[in-house]
Amino acid sequence: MVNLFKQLNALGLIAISIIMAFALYAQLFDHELPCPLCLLQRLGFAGVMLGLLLNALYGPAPKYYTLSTIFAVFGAAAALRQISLHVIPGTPFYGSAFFGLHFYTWAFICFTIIIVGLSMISGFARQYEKNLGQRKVLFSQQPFLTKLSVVLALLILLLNTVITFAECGLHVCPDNPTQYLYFK
Amino acid sequence: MMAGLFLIFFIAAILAVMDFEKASLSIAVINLVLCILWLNYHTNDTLAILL
Repeated sequence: MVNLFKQLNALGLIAISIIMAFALYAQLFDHELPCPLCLLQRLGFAGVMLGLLLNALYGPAPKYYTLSTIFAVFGAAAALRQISLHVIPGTPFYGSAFFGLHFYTWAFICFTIIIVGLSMISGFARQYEKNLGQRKVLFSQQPFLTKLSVVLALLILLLNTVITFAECGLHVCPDNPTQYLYFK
Repeated sequence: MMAGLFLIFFIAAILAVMDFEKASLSIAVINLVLCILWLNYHTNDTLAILL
């Protein structure tokens, strides 16, 4: 049962990595530079990823689910704030639409799904049984899916660090960025 | 500055892989506080209004 939930968390980690990878693709190839609120939503996703990563590595624990859920609420708050800025008639949108909805709306939908999903999955008490003895499993001894998800997550986090530094440097990110600070 | 928050997440993830679970979790919680402060900064002190 523990291994099943570890694998489920690894799958969730891969799913969120794909969302983050798509945001990076839009930024790099469609020149959709993220605003500060967009970056805060990405940080929300990164926090959810960290909770799932801990679940996948060490086995499910309520504290990891709590961490992910709190970051999902944080990300949803940032997304809702951005939606509220652009929902007023006559206010220009930020960025281009994807399937009729803007990225911040999609982010809010994703965070809502994550919150509901985490609330449901964390309620299965049997996943916490017999988990204490499974602590301290070496990374090399983890299942392939866990290794894949962790490597993907690390890559996404590192790419976000580099690309955000390239956009804003050590300064506060501009509200409406049009170009990178450190490369053209 | 925001790149620093991603860097902290990256470091926390690396620590988790290196079996420093408590350190990773602590860093994640500290980063949560920093993220909330940044959200507050970028939303014109919403936190101050709420408090």
